[in-house]
Amino acid sequence: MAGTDDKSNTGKADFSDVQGGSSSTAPSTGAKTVTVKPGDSLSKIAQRELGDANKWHAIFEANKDTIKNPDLIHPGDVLTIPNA
Amino acid sequence: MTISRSLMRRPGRVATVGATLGMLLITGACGKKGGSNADSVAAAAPPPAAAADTSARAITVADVAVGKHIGADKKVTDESGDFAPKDSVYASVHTTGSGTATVAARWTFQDGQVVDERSQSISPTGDAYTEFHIAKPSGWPKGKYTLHVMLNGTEATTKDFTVK
Repeated sequence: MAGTDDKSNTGKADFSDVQGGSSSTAPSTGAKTVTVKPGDSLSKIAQRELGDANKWHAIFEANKDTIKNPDLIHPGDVLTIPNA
Repeated sequence: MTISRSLMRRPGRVATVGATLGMLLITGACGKKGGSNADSVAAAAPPPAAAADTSARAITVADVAVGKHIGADKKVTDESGDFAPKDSVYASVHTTGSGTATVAARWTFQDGQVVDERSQSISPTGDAYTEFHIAKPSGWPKGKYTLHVMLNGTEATTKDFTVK
């Protein structure tokens, strides 16, 4: 799976390996989103958010309106993360 | 029943006591007749203002805490503004109100780079705590960071912290 437009060679700090998460005491409506970072790929996001890189297709299916090519996502894209 | 001299010297209080006694007599009379109209009317028609408050209080961000650990209640247990490169950073967003809202956290570095950004939709019925966390196994670059908390797409508050 191809990565994003990686700009890690620009001399800036590299945050591509940052791991994150969220949860709430309030009932969730199920809609979680993440914003694509430089160096991200769908499989990388699936590993980070769903714990399994092979679930990239679930993210792709949930974002077909915005992702036309699963091998090409862009930093700043906001992706809906389906329930694991 | 007696009314003390001190009350006699204060017309306002006497009037209040008198009114209270009057109400008690009326309530007692109704009870003796077996009627409970006053009670049922009161139960059936709560003050309109109170009903409005509980049904449609908009969700707002009350406060945000940042620290190194979080409890099961999603509250930060050790609020701090200083972190070490290997620390995880937790933020707890306290919201009040009921309904549906999207709470988002955007973490940025001092140079403007977005470190992480994510959102969660919630449907609270009162006070709620939504936590966001970030970690970087290879270690955070030292410097200043800012957490931007957004509610329904609008920035509600920010919180600064430093990695030393």
